[in-house]
Amino acid sequence: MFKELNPLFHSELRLGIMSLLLSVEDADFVYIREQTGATAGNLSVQIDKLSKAGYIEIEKTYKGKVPCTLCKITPEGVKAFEQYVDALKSYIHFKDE
Amino acid sequence: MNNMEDRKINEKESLELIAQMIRNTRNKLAVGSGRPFLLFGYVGVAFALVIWLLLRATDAWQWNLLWFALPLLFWPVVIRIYRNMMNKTTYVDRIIKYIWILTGFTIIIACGFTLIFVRMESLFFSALLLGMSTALTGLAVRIPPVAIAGIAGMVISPAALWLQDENRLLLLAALFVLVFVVPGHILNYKSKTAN
Repeated sequence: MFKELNPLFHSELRLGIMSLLLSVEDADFVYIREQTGATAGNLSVQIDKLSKAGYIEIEKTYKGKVPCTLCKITPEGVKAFEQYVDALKSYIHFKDE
Repeated sequence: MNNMEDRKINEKESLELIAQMIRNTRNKLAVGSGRPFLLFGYVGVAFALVIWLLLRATDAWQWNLLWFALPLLFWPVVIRIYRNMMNKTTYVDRIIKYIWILTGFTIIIACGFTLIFVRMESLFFSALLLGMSTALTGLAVRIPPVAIAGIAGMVISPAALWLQDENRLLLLAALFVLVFVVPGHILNYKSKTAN
């Protein structure tokens, strides 16, 4: 039986952001942009979508005098991500069979 | 790496992307990770040599109090360097940060105790603790030469028990080179080649 895939993770960029944040405690906007290669505008939009879904937390802070946006995955985000990976596995296993 | 966009990907691509992102991010050192080590190391060597010279010239033990200026002056600078350098925080980074905060406080408390209440071998104790913290850092980031430098510092620390006069400060200068300067350069080199 297929599990339903979370449509929020269908996007390559949103999935990339979630995967990155899963393996760190927090990361700043510049680092996420470097790792994903996304444009600042697109990244900003996708981060906002994940934040509105409650999957990530955003903290506006400063590095010296430079503004800095810190992103962190929430427990809800971790749970949604795990469910997504479980659902993905069920699809892959079906295709292998 | 390809630039990621807001496009749909299939199940196989999703799993590959997850694995790739985790691989790229986890436990990768930030560029310039050795900077706080180098700052403390070189300044520590300078303090040791200056205080050694002052003790030889004047014979006034109070020059040793200058050591308390080292953490007070340089902790804010190190914290600033650390904050500007870190664009992400991993679990390992957090552990290392707390190891060094605890090490610093323990040494200050132990030296303060020695000064006010009861005389004990604070140089040996401090050297042992600094070596141990460097070794723990090396083990946490999985860079064996850093761990070995820390253990070497621990091994030479008992020499402080036998050296009696101000020449003990020369041992401390050597220790700063061993547990801060050498690991600092190794960490900088490794972080540069890993990114």
